[in-house]
Formats: sequence, C-alpha cells, structure tokens
Amino acid sequence: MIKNAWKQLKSSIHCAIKHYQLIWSQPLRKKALLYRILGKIVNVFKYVLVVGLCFVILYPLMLQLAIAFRAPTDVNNPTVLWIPGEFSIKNFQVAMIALRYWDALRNTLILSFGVTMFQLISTSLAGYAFARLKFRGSSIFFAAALFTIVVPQTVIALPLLRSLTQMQLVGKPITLFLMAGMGMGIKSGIFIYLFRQFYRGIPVELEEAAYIDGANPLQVFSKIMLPNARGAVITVALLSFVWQWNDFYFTTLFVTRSNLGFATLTTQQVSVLFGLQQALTDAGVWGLMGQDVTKNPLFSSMILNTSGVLVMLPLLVLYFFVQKLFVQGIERSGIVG
Amino acid sequence: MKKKTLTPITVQAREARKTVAIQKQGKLQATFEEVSARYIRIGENKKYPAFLKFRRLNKLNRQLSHLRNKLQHVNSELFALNNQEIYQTPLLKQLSRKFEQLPYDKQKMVFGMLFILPWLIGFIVFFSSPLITTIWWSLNEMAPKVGGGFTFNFAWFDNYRNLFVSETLAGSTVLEVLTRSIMNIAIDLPTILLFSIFIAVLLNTKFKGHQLVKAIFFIPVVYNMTVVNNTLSGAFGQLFESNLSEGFQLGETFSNFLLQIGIGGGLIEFLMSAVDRIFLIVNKSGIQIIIFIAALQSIPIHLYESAKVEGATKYEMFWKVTIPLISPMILTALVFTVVDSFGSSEIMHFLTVNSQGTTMATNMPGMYSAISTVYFMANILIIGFAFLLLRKSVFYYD
Repeated sequence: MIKNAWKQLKSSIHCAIKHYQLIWSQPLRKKALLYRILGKIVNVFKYVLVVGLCFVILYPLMLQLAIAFRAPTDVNNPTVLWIPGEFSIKNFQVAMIALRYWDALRNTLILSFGVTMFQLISTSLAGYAFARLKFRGSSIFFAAALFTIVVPQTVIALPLLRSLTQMQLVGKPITLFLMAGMGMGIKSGIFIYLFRQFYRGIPVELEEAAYIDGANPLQVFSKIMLPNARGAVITVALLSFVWQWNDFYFTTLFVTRSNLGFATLTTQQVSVLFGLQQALTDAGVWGLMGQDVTKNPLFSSMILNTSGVLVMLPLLVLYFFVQKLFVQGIERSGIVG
Repeated sequence: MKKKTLTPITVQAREARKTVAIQKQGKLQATFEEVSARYIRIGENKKYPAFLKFRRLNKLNRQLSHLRNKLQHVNSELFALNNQEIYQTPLLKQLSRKFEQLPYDKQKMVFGMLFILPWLIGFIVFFSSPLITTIWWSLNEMAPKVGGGFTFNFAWFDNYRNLFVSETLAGSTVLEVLTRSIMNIAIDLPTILLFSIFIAVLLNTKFKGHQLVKAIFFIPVVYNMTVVNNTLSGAFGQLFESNLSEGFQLGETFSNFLLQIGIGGGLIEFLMSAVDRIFLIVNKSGIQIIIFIAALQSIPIHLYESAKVEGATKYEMFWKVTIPLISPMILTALVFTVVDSFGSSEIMHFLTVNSQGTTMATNMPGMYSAISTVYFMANILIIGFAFLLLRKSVFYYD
C-alpha cells in the first residue's frame, strides 16, 4: 500500500519535472513561467507590506484599548502587557467623570452635525458655481477660495476673535455654524475645490437635457448634480464631521474659552491633558482606584489614554457604519475633472 | 381659490410714468432720425468702396431695426397709459418678470452669483478683513489699554526686528525654530507624497481582502492626532515601544550594515528619521491617499489598453501614463501636506492657545501678528517654491 503510494508520488514528480523541462526548452513559455513566478513573489511581498502597514495603523488603537481595559491594580505588573489580566472598566468610569462625558458628547454632536450641514450647503453651492455657472471674474473668486486654503487659520485668529467679540458672537455655537454656512469653516477651501473638480467630471449633456426640459439652475443643481455627486457629498460630510469633532483650535477660541459650560469632547480632552491631577482630585474620584495613585505617572497616563479612547470611540463606531459608503464614494468619485 | 384684488395705480404715478415715457419717446425719435439720415447719406455717397459701404449699411440697418422695436414698445406703453386701466404689480413679480426677460446665459450668471454670495460674504467678513488687520497690527507697536482695547503706535518693521533679534522659545531663536520646521517639512513632504502614491497604487489593484485593507487604511482620517501622539509618547506608550523594539532590531542592524559598506551618513540619517516617523507619516497621509485613489480611478482605461497594445511594460505604463495623469493631484496633495504639517510644527508653539487663553496674544498682539505673518509668508514661500519646481512637469489632460 505505502509502496504503491510512493511509486505514484515518484511518477508524478517525474512527470512534473519533465513538464517543466519541456517548458524550459521553449523560450516563450519559459518567459511566461518566469513572469508567473515573479508575479507570485510580488504578491507575497505585497501582502507582507499591507499587513505590516495595517499593523502600523492599528497599533495606536490596539495600544489604547489594551491600556484602557487594564485594571488599576495591574499597573505595575510586568506580566501584563497586551491582554489585561482582568478586564476592568474602572478607567472608563474615572475618565468619564474627568471628561464630563455625556454633556460633552451632546455638545460635540450638536456642533459636528450642524457644522457638517452648513459646510455641505455652502461649499457644494460655491463649488457648483465655480465649476459651471461662470461669470466674469469668477475665476478670480476661485483663486481667492484657493488662497483661503493656503493661509493658516492661526494667522487670522486674533483679529477675527476681536471682531466677533464686537459682534457679540463669541461663546455661542452659532458662531461656528455661521462661519461654516459662509464657507469659512475648517478647511472649507478644500471642500470647495473637491466639489468643483467633481462637478467638472459630470457630463455637461445631463445638465443641458435638464435645461431643455425647462429647469432652472437651482433645480438642475438639486435634482441632477447633487444626486450624481453622492461620492463627493459623502466624502466631504465625513471629513467635515471628523475635522469638527477633532478640532480644538476653532472651538476653544470662539466658543469654549468664553463659555466654559459648552465644552466639546476634544476641548475637554485637552484640558484634562493639562490639569488631570487637579481635575480628578477636585472630582474626588481617586478613591475609586483604591491606591495612592498621585505618585505613579503611569496612572495618569492610563486615565489620559482611556479618555482618548472615549473621545475617539463614537467616531470609530460612525466610521464603521459609513466606511463602505465612504470607500465606494471615493472609488466612484473621480475627483479629477 | 380666493381671487386677488388688483389695485389700480394712482393718478400721480400714471402721470409720472407718462412723462418718462414721452421723454423716452422723444429721445428715441431723435436718434432714429439721426441714424436714418446717416444711412441715407452713406447710401448716396459714391466715394465709399463697395464692401465697406455694405458693411456700414448693414450695421446701421441693424441699429435702426433695434430702435424701431424700442419705439414700438414705448408707443404701446404710452397707448396703454392713455387708454387702459393699469394695475400695480408687486415688487417680487416685477423682479421675476425682469429676470425672465434676461437672456439664458445671463440667467445662469445671476444664479452663479447667488450661489457664490454666501461664500463671498464669509470671505470678506471672516477672512480678508482679519488678514489685513493682522498685517496692519504687525506693523504697529501695541500695548493693552486700561479700559480694554489697545494703544497703537505705528513702528514700521520694529516688530519683525525684535522678533528675529530677541524673541526666544525654550532657548532657541525664531529663526532657528523656523528653519527647523522647514527642514522637518522638507523631510516629511517627499516621504508623505511618495508613500501615499505608492499606497494608492497598491490599493487601487484588486486583491483578496482589499475592501478590509481599504477600510483600515482610511482609519487615520478619523484619528485624533493629539490623542494618538499622546498615547504614543506617554509613559505607557514608551513601555510598550521598548517591549516591541526588543523584538526586532532590524533597523539598527541595517543602518550598521549600510555604514560599513560606506554609504554616507546623510542618507542614513534621512532613512532613520523616516523610519522613526513611520507612525506619523502613515497617520498623516490619510487624505493624500484618498486624493490619489480618486485620481487613479479617474484615469481612462483606454489609455492603458492602448499602451499595452503598443507593448509597454507595467513599469513604463506607471511612469508614462499614471504619473503624468495624476500630476495635478500631486500638486493638490502637496499644498495640503505643507499646510497641514506646518500647522502642527514647532513654530505653532508661539501661537498656541491653551485652555487658559492665548499666551502671547493678550500681552503683545503686535508681536503675535508679526510671528503669524512670518509664518504665513514662510508657508506661501514653500508652496511657491514647490510650485515652481513642479510646474513644468505637471500635465493637464484637458
């Protein structure tokens, strides 16, 4: 039985060697074989690279999760590194108190949704006008829109703050809405540019057909261009939502600095960064940890990390839901005109 | 449905409109007669060369018919004013009627202006006026007044001189900080661009699990960089990193090997700093990857097909088809990268706003404006330099 199998194997190997010898003797087939082998090697290399880069990207996230679930009693335990010895949500409890989590989350949601809506309206309209409804001097305005990308926000922050204070707009979320609705929100210039490039890629014939049927530009925009530009809309919506969520500079300067009651997650996170010890002592939550924690820097690092996870968590959940749409949107967008 | 009651216009308004119409009629009549007289004069002139005459007459003829139309219009209005009842039209209706009378191109232009209007107001109120104010402030010596506000003292370029001579941040002068930031960008910029082009090309091919990989590669877009940096450089981050790097010391071995072969230290330094920054580079290039993937998707397939028919290899196709066609987007990504990484560079420490308030802004706004103007100029200089460098190699398909 075994002998038979061995014989079979031997013959099959012999067969294969003969087959490849035959291929090797013919230059064209040899070339094809070599190409196939090369392709396989490149493929393996590609996978190694992709997996490695995925690790690099996911590393901070894994790190944060590993730290966040670590029990406070395990903080100096050298045997616990990636997987916590016992899962505990004590860190989360403490970080939530330090961040004033639910209040901040509500504020952040209000701000992000509002700003996203306003940015979408203003930038898509302006982008459409720059792409198709040209008038004399509109290219100058477009150059100005590109110029707003190049000038960093810090440069104009101080005078802007002063004039907004004179208008009595500082300290209210409506300021950010106003700026987003006027196309001067966070990186609006880039969104205008993206929309313009996108609309330029949509065939003119579609619009012309609509015009012949008696539509005015507003109808063409809302019924033809916007539905066709779904990819760009999703991209811009996600980016503006995320950037508003993670924004510290704008929000602090125009809202939170003079209205401490209205804090977003990111501003809370930063203020926790600066005064964690004080904040936690004030809240009297050190008792939850059950140790004298003020002496060990690892404890504050742990709480900071956990609060970071809490800040990013809603975004990650959101991303998880929209990522398919997002990826498809980018694929189909063809942003270059 | 309720019928709207129409109110007839008042007698005074009717009279006023009548006088205006009569005046208009007189003027039109005069010009009409003048033009027709000229028409006759030219027609009878025998010195004119024939082709010129024909052209002039044609032009005048058109003018005349235009005038005739206008006259007819005024006449009919006058007739209506004299004999018929005329009702008031609401302002909105008047406007919409005026709009409908515009030619189609002009209607589109009006809509274009309407669409841009919000942006334009924002540009004037929230952008250009603060920018001009910043530049003006940087030329003034400013000190806070007792009752709020500032005292202005025009001082030409004193702020800038002080900035470069005496201002320091943690022991290094502004010039040093600026050069260091620019050097950092000079390292980051090519690395990020090359890396993101490479990744975009990689992700653009279809392989097993490419959906998942794409989803993972766009996660950095969602990352909060403050939080991530804090995690990586915090006490725990260092603990983990020391544990990790015990595992592989590939980088060190490799660099030692290169040194032994005799490849210069500059290159190794560059490579090592790039390796050190791999986290930052990967996490910074999310948007650039998006831009490049979109650009790659929009390259028409027939170009590749014809290249294949001509016998081009994949390598040649990449350099001769892909790179030229995405070159405008390289420029876009470059601008975005410069702005983004300059925004998080060391010079920003001068301009930080922490939760307690601005540090320099409250005390010396003049100086603050000077720094930010320098910062902005440096930004524009870098982008302008890169533009000049790449201008010749950028290719526009249309």
